[in-house]
Amino acid sequence: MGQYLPIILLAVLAVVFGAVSIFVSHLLAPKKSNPIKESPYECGVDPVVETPERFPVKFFLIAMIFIVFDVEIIFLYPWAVAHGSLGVVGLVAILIFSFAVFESFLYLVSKGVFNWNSVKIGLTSRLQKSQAEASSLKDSVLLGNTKFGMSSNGSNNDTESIRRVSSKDKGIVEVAK
Amino acid sequence: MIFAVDLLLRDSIGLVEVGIVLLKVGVAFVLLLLGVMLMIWFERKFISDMQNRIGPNLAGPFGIFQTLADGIKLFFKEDQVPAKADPLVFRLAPYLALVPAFLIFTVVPIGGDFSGGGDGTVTWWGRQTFLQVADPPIGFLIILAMSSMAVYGVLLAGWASGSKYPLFSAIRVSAQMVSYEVALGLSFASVLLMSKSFSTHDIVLSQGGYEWNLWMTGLVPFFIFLLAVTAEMNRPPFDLVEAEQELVGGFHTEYSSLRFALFYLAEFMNVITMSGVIVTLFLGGPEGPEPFPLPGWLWGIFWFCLKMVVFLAVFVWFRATLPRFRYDQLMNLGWKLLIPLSLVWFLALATLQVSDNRDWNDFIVLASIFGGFVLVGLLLKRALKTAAHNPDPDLSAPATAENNVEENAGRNTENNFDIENLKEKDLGGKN
Repeated sequence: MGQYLPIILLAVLAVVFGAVSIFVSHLLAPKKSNPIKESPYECGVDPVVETPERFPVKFFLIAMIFIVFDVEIIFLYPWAVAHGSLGVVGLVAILIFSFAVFESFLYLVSKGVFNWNSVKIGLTSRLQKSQAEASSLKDSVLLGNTKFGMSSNGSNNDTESIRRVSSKDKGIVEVAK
Repeated sequence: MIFAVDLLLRDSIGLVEVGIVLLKVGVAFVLLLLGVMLMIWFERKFISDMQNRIGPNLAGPFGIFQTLADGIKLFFKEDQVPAKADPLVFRLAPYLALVPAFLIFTVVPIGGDFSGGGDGTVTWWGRQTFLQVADPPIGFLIILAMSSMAVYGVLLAGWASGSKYPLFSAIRVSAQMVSYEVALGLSFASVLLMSKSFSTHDIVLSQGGYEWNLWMTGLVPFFIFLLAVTAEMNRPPFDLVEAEQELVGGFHTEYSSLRFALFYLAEFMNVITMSGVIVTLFLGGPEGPEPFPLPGWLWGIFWFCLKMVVFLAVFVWFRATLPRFRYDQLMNLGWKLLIPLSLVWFLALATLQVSDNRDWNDFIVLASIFGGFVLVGLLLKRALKTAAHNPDPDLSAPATAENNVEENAGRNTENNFDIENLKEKDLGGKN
């Protein structure tokens, strides 16, 4: 246990350092708070939408898959240290074990768990295509603005805005011609 | 060998031992803070040189006290806790970022007497010890544990702020750090295979002077580790956590004054300690040649600092040169390339190690390892192809209006297919 004494000491020192400097800053700093300062940062605008409490399930999925791999790593480490005395049996065992985990990894990959761009690609590539068709820089800037407008419109209006984009797009192409 | 421990604390602990421990802890603490100060200055100066600017030049000679001036300024700034924040977690998070940054450094050997085949022990006041704060038998796991702890600092800071941008940043970065943690851990495992010990001091010794196990760990695991560690520290080109064009300041948007300073401190301290870890695991730590006679421990410190400064410069260089990754590129690199590659490399290395001790035919062993690489590559390619053909509706991004989906359905699969094909080519080439 004595081996960990320096680590514990340094941890205590780090906490004390943080606490003392925050305390000193507390003594020195002005305290002139008001509701506007305390509101969430929104680039100077009043917050319109509440801070979301839910987030896409994909992030959660990544965390769960991480646990599987972390457990694999936990099993690999002791074997890596002791592989000299475990010999061929150990090697075969670890190969089978790794293959089992790798197989589940392949299943996840083929399910598209690690693809982050399924639907969005269709929209953006369409825009990129029309941008490529538009001849001048000015036109593409116009289209870029339309794109931003679309994303703020919300999901229900997407079809409409796409139509708008494509009709506008045709118009631009005609003008360019 | 597994339970090699610091000789200083092996037996009973007396006054002298406690004195030495206090000295070590104090020196490490001061060194880290000074190092952060110099590192921030170095980064700003180096980048400004690369961009044809002058950079900080007013505070002290060459602007070397600029960081100190900034730090003192932050003491006088108002400390704001947002109304919607979770007050306790909001105050706790900076510590969770700072303490792990300090603790990783404890197991990094920063010097030692390696002259004449020595094992790095130095003698102080009649006690033998190593030039590192601590050398517990599981030093290696402390590095891993503390780098995992750092995720909590970022995640809780973002979540507790009660604000949009910090929350986005925190979710994004926790998925990123967790993904690269796997690649980090697997490339670690290759090092363990060579050292057969968890103690960082033994890892340095196992690299045998100047060989550094170059063919075994110096190629693939080293580069995977370098990439993964850059992503773990959220340094460019993996700095999606504070992509200021989209997320304002990232997870510490709502932090001000000294609490912000602690995050900043932790970030740069991580750069220093992780450079130290890279040097320890892959580049022989403080070992190096001795061109002319000096006290042995001095050479150790010299070589360690030299190797570490190279990596500090490399990290700054990354920041000055490389544009930021897109999130899907980041995830693809981590999951579809680095993790399979590091796993397969580990297994190949393990097979080589086991066959080394026996009279196995080298040709057959190498051929089967090559076959394993090809098999894994083909399986992965097949899986990627399947993923491109059947995008799973439940797992892909949320569907928009029905017409939209129908209209774009054909196009989507086409585009996805093309993109995946490109990646497959890349993967196939590298495997």
